[in-house]
Amino acid sequence: MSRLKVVVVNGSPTRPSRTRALAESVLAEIQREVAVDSDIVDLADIGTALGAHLFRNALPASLEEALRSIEGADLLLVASPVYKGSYPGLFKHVFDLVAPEALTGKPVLLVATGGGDKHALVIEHQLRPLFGFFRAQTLPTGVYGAEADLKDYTVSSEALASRVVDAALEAARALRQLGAESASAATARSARTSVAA
Amino acid sequence: MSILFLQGSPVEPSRSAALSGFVAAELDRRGVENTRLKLTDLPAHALLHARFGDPQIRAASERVAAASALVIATPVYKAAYSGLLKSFLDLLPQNGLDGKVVLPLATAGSPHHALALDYALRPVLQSMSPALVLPGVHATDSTVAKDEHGNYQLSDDIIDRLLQATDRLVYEYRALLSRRAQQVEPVPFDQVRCSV
Repeated sequence: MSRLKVVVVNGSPTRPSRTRALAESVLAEIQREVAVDSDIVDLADIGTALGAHLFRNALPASLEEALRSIEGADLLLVASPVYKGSYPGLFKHVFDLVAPEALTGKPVLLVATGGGDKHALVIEHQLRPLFGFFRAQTLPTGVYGAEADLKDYTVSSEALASRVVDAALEAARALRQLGAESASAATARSARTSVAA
Repeated sequence: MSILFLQGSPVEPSRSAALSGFVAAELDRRGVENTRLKLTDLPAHALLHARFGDPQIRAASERVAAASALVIATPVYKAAYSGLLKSFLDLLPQNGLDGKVVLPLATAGSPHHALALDYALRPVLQSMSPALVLPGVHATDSTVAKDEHGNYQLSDDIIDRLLQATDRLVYEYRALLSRRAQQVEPVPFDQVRCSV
């Protein structure tokens, strides 16, 4: 049985990136709980090329691969910086290219970073409705980090660290459930096969 | 034709009322007429059962209709406005803010809920056809601290922001009044006596 896969989408076009640092700390925490494969789609890598393409049917292979990775994830860990009170335009462009039905029912963990605490509700008012459109299953705990919580690009405040753990535990639970479902589906399949034989 | 303060906090004294109080005192100082409507004075039963015809609800609704500008203050509860404020707004007509200038004020326990002003309250106000919803002022509890006498002390930063907001409010309010004063009653065509 192949391992489940968590795909991180980093919506920050800059590097180094606090958003990526926070997303990676959540991923690391998930991987302490469950053994999963991971991939990262980072706007710092693909942003410039992506901005030059408006339609899915004319994407170069590397970008098409990035979108397939997002669509094929078992769990998406979506992280975005806050620009003008919302996600960056380029971040939205990524999801504008994702097939509308591709994220249905997929667990999505929402992460955001901003200059200060005042933009924390961006998770509830901007990111969550976007995935509501996709009928994805956003996990209840979103993780928001302000600059002061991420000194030297690591999680530096206790409050944020404990939020990271809470969110990762929820993600791990969702992944275990997916693992159990796919195992029981496999058992059912093999039972059918043996009856047929 | 005055400025009406809607106080949306169910508790008293409240930090959000302290913000309104500051703006009201500033308006008094500038000679701008203003009055206050405490939503806790309204009958709870009438509010919760949407009794539009209740005399106190009707009187409150008429005061809103008569005001040219509103200052609406609310605490942030569960990342949005108070239920008390919303239950009152629900009793106003859909275009209940028609032609009015509105200044929203909010207080919250943490800065994490600052966006409630723009994402929760503003769309509600905007749906009621206001002339203008001014940028709001959000204050965290630590910037509206209670002193040993139980009075709220505003931080310098919040005072600056409230003064700026009051400037904008007074400017827009006066502009609104002067536009109204310049409005000419339309003359039906058959009463036109000469044209140029």
